[in-house]
Amino acid sequence: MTDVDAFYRKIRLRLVESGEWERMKTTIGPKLNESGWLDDIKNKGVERAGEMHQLSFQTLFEALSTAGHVGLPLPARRELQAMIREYLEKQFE
Amino acid sequence: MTSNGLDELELCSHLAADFTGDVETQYRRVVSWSVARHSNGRSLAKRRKVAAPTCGTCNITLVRPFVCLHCPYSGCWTGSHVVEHLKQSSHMFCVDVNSGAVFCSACDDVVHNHTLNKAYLESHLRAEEKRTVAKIPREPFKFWEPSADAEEVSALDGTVAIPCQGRRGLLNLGQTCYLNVILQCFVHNPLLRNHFLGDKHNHKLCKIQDCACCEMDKLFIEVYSDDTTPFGPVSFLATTWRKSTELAGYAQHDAHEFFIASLNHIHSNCKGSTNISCICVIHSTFAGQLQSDVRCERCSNVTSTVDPILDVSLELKEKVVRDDKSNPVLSLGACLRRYTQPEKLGPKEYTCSKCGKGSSASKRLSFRRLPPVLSFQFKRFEHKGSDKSASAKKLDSLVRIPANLDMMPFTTMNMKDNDKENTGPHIMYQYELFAVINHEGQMDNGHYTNFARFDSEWYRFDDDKVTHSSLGACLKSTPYMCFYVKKHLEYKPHITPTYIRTRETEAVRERALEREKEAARQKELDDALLATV
Repeated sequence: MTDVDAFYRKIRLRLVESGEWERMKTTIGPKLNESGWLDDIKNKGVERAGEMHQLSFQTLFEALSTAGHVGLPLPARRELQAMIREYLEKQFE
Repeated sequence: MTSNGLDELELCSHLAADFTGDVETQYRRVVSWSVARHSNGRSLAKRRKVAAPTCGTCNITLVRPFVCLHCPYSGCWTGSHVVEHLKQSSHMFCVDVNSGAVFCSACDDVVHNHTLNKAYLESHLRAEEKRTVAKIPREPFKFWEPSADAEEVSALDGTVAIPCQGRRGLLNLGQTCYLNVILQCFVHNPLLRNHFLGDKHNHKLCKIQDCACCEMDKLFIEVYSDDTTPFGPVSFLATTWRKSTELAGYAQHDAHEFFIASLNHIHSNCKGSTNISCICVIHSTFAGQLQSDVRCERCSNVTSTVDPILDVSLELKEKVVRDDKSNPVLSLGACLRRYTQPEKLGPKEYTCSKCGKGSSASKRLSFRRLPPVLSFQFKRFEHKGSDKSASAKKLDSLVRIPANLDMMPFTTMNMKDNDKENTGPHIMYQYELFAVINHEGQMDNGHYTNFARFDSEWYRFDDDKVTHSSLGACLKSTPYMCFYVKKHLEYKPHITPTYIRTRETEAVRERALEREKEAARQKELDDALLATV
């Protein structure tokens, strides 16, 4: 396990335990919904599932994860990154 | 909501056989735990630590735990950690805590059936009920069970099941597309549908002339029949003309105007409808409350007024936001923020009742009570001057509406800081889109069409033409009106409506009066007889 890995795990634990992870989710979630990104992913899922000969959750999950990351609205991405950066700076004050 | 008939399509035999006993108990426990864990981001302001389960395989803090239903293991979905665990331990099921979705190791896929859906809904609801903080303990939800009443069972035995789609096109009777789209939105409104299909207003027993409730009853009978050919809502139109003369005639009318006129018409024909706190089907479905708070800038006195509303009309003059690709898009959220933002009132417009002088004030609207069905209208028609017939300008700006709407940020409770602790379960503020009305063309020569949802399938309605569509197509269209229904409804314990109780006490009193009269008459007779002796 690399140092970066260990560091990431530590931060992740702190974010979850302090409730900060949840708070960030509830801040960004509505913005992702309002931008139409969420509905777009759902619609892509329904379309993809309709085309599949054999339905498989894992296949859909992988396809949508890729599409989701690519299509993530820039303002939401920037805001989340800013929140994480702010949290990290506070941790090491 | 799935019906038992769909179980025939279920492919996972393991769920049918093994989702019982300890496995089911564990599932319910996990769902209850997830409700307790995610109660409002706000409650985490108190600096206590949140439970942080770790993956049994890689030890990382889980943000999206998948829990085994056969042992205490919980793990990541990514990297197949939980799937590997199931294989290695010969355990069958695991559950995604966030959604309640169950993965079956034998089928190697996410599975579901009626029993599972019911178990999820029930445990989620019970956990939510326990955690609701209110002045009166929350009424526990009673799931519908088929009646065991002998009379009802035998009555149902004599019925014939007919195949029906619950979907029919409506013929255009001469520029009546404005009527057709509203009727389709009524038909697809779950609360109105349940009311009329539940025989709450049987048109064969009603004696009211030009009754709008009878027209609704007849409409539902036509739509839920085995005839799938389009039909013409002739009597609905005729009744509307007689009741609302401003809507008479074959000229094009505004769908929203017809909508409001219909709501009032139906309300006035409902049994027991009143002018204050009415519990008719229209008010039970559409009525909300809007609060207006005016704050005097000089003395900080706040005057609040509460107004009843049946729908929300939103301006489209909002400054347009540009998205990533620089396309101008306005969102429903932005419109609602504008609707509830503080507005400045000048000293000429406002006189404070407390400090008595004309002063500046700020006025703010908020939703005090949210109706089960929220109807929005976008003000797309700008009338030039007071003459309605003068050609109006139509605002065609694209508005982005979500399939899922959260009204919490726009409620009165949310605007007042002290009440934020007792807002209740968040799902009470969440709505799902079920119908959208579109208008193409100009004000006086345009055409109305609509989208509507049944379960999770979307359809497009263009008078008599009904086609299968998608959520995507619906959201791409330009909405003129749209309808949302609450995900979870509020309900009180069943009480007999006041007008029925009044009717019964009246009947009892009349019978008592009759008996007294009879006794008096008898006494008179006896006295007369005695006098002759």
